[in-house]
Amino acid sequence: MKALRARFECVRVTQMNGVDIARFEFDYDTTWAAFFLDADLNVYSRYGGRDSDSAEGRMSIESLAATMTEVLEVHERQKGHAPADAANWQPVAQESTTPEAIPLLAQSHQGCIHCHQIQEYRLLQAFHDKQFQRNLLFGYPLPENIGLRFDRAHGHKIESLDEALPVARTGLKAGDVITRVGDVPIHSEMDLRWALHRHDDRRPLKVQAQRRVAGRTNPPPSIEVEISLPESWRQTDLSWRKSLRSVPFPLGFLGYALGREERAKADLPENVLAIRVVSIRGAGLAEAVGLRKGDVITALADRRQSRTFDQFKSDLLRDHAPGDRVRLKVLREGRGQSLEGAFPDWLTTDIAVP
Amino acid sequence: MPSHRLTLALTGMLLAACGSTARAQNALFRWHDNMDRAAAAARDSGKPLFVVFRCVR
Repeated sequence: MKALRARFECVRVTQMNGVDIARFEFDYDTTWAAFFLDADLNVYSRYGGRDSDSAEGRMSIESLAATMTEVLEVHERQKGHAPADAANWQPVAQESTTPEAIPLLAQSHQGCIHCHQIQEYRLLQAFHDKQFQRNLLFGYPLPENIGLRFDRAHGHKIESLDEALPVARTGLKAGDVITRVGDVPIHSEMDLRWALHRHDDRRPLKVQAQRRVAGRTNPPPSIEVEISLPESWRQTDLSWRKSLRSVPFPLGFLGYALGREERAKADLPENVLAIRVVSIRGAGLAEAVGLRKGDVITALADRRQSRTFDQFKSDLLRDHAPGDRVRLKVLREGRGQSLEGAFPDWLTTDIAVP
Repeated sequence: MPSHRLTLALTGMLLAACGSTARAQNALFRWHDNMDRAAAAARDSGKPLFVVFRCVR
């Protein structure tokens, strides 16, 4: 890794003040992200990303080294290519912008700007500009969302395909290396996630891959396929995201997941949902469905598995849009009850991020 | 490599510019903290840029 690192000019950025977030667009809920660029700041690749299971499980020294090696190969090719081949660069918005260009952030924030605050202020700003859409919550979809599981030691080589999803019928196979999605060259899993993040749902998802064939010399043959995207394909667990607290979702109550002792007292096993309502706060979902202080929520529609409070909130946001019916089962004074009401309209009075 | 070791390794890369044990390495290697100067250095050296965002909450 040291030898690889020495072949780059390395830059560290520890605060987001003044950063061109049109060029350095990444999942701002994460705490670590990397970019590979040329001297004119054309982007070759992105690296990083996490999921709800772990902050680092999707990264590895091996896959980082693989991405760095690919970037060096492309960079060397570019140097011998005049003019440079723009197809090797990832698209960047024409207009640069900074976090300080978000009006609410400029109005409310002082000092060091943290990555997650950019995403939080974007959500609040979108709400106050009447531009908020539920899809804003589900950024950087996982490859598993479209049915691809990558080899973690490589980054963008297919380890397996989900046989239940359309991708399994495209002709792609385990061992194929994804090289391009739409106009985005792919050198890492995060490149693919970024390509999915910016994909226009009205267009087919065009994917290029290379397939190594035993006995054949380089270059391996290229395959091009179109992937049909499954319903709700962007959605992932939001519970790990710091920005969850800034979603304009009027839950209308405070609560917590019962611990072991309280579950035992209520005769609730550890693997089932058990969220206690601590207080009712203003209009919102709680009022719409008729929750009361002291209720213990034991089911959300057919979901009964144990969840933290943030996971429960994430499930609500994944499964519902304003106006949808929300069905809960609760224990009220020891007796089971079913509650139902409308998912509320987006609403927040917040104009600043804690 | 276990995930917690990965974070340590990645963070270690960031911190390599600090501390006495890293001084020998820094003779060959250093982290830039200014994008414009790093881009100028990349133009001179012919190397690509590796930009790491490390947010400390």
